Amino acid sequence: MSYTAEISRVNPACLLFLIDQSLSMADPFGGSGAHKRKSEGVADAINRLLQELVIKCAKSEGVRDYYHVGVIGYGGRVDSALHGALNGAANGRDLVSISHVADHPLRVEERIRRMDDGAGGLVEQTVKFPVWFDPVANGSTPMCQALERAHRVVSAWLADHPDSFPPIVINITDGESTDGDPEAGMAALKALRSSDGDVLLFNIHLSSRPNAVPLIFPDSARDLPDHHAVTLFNGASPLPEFMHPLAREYGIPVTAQSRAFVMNADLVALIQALDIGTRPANLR
Amino acid sequence: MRCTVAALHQVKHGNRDDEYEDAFAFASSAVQAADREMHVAVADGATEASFAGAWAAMLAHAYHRGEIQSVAELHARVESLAQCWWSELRQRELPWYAEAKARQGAFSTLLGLSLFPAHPLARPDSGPPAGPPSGAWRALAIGDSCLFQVRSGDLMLSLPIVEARQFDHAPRLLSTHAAANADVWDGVVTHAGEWIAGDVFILATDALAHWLLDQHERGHSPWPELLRIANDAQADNAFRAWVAECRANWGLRNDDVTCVVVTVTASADDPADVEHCDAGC
Repeated sequence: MSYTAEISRVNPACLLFLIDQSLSMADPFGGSGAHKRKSEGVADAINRLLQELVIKCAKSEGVRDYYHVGVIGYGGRVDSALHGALNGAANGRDLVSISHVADHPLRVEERIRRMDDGAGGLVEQTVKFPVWFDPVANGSTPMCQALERAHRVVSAWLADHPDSFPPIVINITDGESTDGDPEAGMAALKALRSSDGDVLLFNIHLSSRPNAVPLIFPDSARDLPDHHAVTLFNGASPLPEFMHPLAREYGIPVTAQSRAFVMNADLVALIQALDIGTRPANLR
Repeated sequence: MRCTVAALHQVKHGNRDDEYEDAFAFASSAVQAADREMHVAVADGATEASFAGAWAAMLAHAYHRGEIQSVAELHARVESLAQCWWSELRQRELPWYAEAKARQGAFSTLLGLSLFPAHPLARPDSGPPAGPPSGAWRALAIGDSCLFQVRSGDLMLSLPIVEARQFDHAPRLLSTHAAANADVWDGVVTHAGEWIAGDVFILATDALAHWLLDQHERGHSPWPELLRIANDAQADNAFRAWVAECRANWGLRNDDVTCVVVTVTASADDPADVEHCDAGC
């Protein structure tokens, strides 16, 4: 069975983000998200995903390095998008342990929230919100170069971790590639594999089309607004079976033809599908 | 009633010893006095939760103190323990991620076994007592930590899980969040039974419990080997080696492993022994 390898500190998993930082990302979302710029959506998505991932790995004594994470930005250039302190920790390998991510946000904002007091009541408390990325929109969209860079990073990871849980690559883009058709690059990435299964490529599409409704794990391209979305849909991996039960828990209908494709929707559920241990039925 | 108790545990491979998140509680002296009831518990903190080991320990020790003998007492105790847990947490200065994780609460199983002194023995008009010493026992369980009652090498009962296929990675657990416990109380399993002298009760957290039940269903009785290890003079070392072997070769899942083995033996204070001695003198 695939996608069953234990994820632990002795057998960590790889998570690689490719984020579109091109000028077209300064355009607003289409549909109901029209007030927000796509670059803000990307920054929000990355910050939320990293936050969820760190929390998932957090224990009383610190953050356990169940994951090694990389972020490659593509816009004016293709390069690691990790900021200074994290980039140093990556040591030129484009991947850094999740504990380093936890300890090096760009800044930590403080907000007031009401928290459970254990007896059914609520108490107000100041809570901290970390931020790793601010919105960036500059240059063209060299997606093919980004996919090639991802191929090198993932290949190097698999050389060192041949039995790991298959690496997951999450490509967040408005899909308007300017250096060629990304189809071949996506196929090459999906052809890589560990002993536990094929690399998973998620394409997160941020569309400016006015008719772009939120879609999560669709099983056909019929409701997609344009050919950019269709390219990303076709290039995404089939949604693996182990994610189906969680998707249904969140009210997302999935079928055997569902793809790892999301358009203009919440990504937190993506991280919560990864199994690093017993998850109580009543933990939300 | 006299009991000998052996507590065996091994942390998940790859983790440090201080990262062990199961808990167990029993009387500090291995031998229990004949006229006293005994409460033993194991608890398994959920891996994805934070500060779960501390929560598991709070639950196990509450049961060991005899404070949880019914679902109603469990409900009341969980509420008061949860308030303590939150109160201690709010006094700590935590990094943003530990704070966020703690807000999700801690989760744990709980399995408790209570053994009560022997019944007064039936006295025939002459001759020895009708049977071996016996008495009552009671158990309470939420989650997938399991109790096994073994008699003469045979499994008499397992609870709350009765078949190996019933184990999964999403058991219902006791939470420090009152809202998360709303549906938990209906899932608490209680049971009462009878022990006889010689019975062995095994309390095990899920990885080992699953493996024991699976071995039993395959016809490979695991009980003699486990009892031999529990009675070994170097029980901790023997258990460590056995767990490593089972993980490597026999399908034991890599997770914290906890096992409390309670053997109920006849006591010199039990009326049966006294009568028998008098009759034989």
